[in-house]
Amino acid sequence: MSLSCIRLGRSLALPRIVLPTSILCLSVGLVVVFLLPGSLHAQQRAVIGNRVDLIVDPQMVGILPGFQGPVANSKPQLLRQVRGLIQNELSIIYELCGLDQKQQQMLVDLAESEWKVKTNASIIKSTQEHVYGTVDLDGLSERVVRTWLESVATTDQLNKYDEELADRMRWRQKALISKVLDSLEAKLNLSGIQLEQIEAILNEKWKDRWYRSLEATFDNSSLLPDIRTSWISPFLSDAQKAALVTRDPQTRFGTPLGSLDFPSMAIENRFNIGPTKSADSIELEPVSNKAAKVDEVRAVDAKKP
Amino acid sequence: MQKSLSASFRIAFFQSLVTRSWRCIAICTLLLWFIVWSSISSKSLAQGIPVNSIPEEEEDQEVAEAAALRGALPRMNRQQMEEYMYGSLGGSKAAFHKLKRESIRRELDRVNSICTLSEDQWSKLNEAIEVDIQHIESRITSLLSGYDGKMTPQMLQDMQQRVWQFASSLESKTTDHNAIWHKVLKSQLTKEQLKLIDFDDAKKQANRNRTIYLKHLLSFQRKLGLSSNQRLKLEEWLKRDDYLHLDFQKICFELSDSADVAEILNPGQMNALKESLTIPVVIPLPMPAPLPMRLIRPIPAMQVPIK
Repeated sequence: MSLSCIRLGRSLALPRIVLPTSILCLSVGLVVVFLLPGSLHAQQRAVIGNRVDLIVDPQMVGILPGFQGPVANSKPQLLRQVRGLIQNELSIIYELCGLDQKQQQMLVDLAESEWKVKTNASIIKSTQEHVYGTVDLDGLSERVVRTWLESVATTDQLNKYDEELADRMRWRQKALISKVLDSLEAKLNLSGIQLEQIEAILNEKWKDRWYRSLEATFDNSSLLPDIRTSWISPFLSDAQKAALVTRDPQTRFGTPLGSLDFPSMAIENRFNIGPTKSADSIELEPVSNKAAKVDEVRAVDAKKP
Repeated sequence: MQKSLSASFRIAFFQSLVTRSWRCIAICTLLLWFIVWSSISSKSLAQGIPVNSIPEEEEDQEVAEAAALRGALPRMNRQQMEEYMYGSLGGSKAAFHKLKRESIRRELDRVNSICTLSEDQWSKLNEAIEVDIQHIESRITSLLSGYDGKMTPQMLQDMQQRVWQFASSLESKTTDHNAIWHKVLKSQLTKEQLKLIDFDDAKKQANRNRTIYLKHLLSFQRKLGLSSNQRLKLEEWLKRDDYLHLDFQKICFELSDSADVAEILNPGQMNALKESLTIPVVIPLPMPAPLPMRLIRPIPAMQVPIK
């Protein structure tokens, strides 16, 4: 093109246009080679940016229709929580059972050496999100501590702890039945008298296995116990009976705040019963690097705006 | 550069008028193209727009919004929208009527079991129920009255939002206190009957409150490891109206400052309660659920391959 321009310029006696045209062609070449790809990349970034804007802010996920429920705690977090629960049980035993020094030492040593083995399976299960509410860490720590206590305490001492556990179960029973009545009342428009009648029958038919966990009682209506129609239908009107047989969509009141009510005890701290601590000869198991890293990453992710 | 180009163009143009040579015309065209191209490219580069991109028109924005909305919202005509509404209210228009009557009937059964309603009261209430159902139907009709195919995407979105809100408000309320039948019921009941109803309502509310404070109590049990005496004493605190409307974390704050609660809990538990409030809580966020692909606008194809 520049050659033709030069030739044309000569034939038209216009040499002045040759130089600008050449510079122009050179600059066009530069633009094509260097600047154009850059601007195209800029456009690509802009397009991807548009797409990134469509990705929803993680903070807002809680209100999205696709919200799947709470995220399970990480394993190190669960380990600390279970240790906290066990420590609470040991403190109650110290206050209730009146163990002597030797029994205390035996119990606390047992707890320190066996806690991980006894609770590991449930902790691993709890790290999965879909089992939310089905693992009862409170009940687990109670059962485990009772097993240890059984091997070191006298029958009287054990009975005192059993009474304490039975009393707790009574409170749990009260809470679960109250929650079931709430859900029935919302569905059937029960009167106060009907509530009392149904509460009485539920107390009569109560089985401890109805209580699954604190989360299952209050956060997940699909985990409430199945109440037999024949138990409560004698107290209901025809319209209420008709409503009872219709199935409601079961809701999951997922909240990621479930871990706020857990105690937490660091792996580095030793179990104690009053002044008695576990023996130094028992090695404290450190958290694996991988698990700690996962915990850190989750913490950083949670802080992101 | 453009000045010299313009000068060259002028010279070549006047020369072409004199000589009428095709070469002059060709060079004029070429120069003109260069001037236009260089001005466009300089402007485009300054704005970060590729030189070969088609300039965006104002209409494109609307088209894109419409496409996004079409992707995000189901395309429904008026009939489908009406079916959707009744579908969410029971399955069909007839089913909605049946369910609505039954839900009101359950509430009236409750009232009747507390204070027996007279035949006259029943007949007036039955009439009111029918009027109420008609009223809801007319509201649905008025909501859908502006629904036609000529709506802009924004109008369509607003309309669907209103419809969904209305449907969900009807679903969630078993007893709507603003409903006509409810107003008729209140007007028909005697003072004594109203007292009995209020007493029954209070019983129901007490059960709801019990659920709330028992949840808090079990949470404290988990957090602090309470004994049976402590549970009894703490229950009295948690029953109070001040605490019923607070969440667990706020109750912890309140109780940690209370001297009376310090007498219920032992020093170890009190320390644990206070410590738990000073530790920054890392709340694990739920993983974002995968968005359906129709919510994401597809990336337009690049017109020039990137080197």
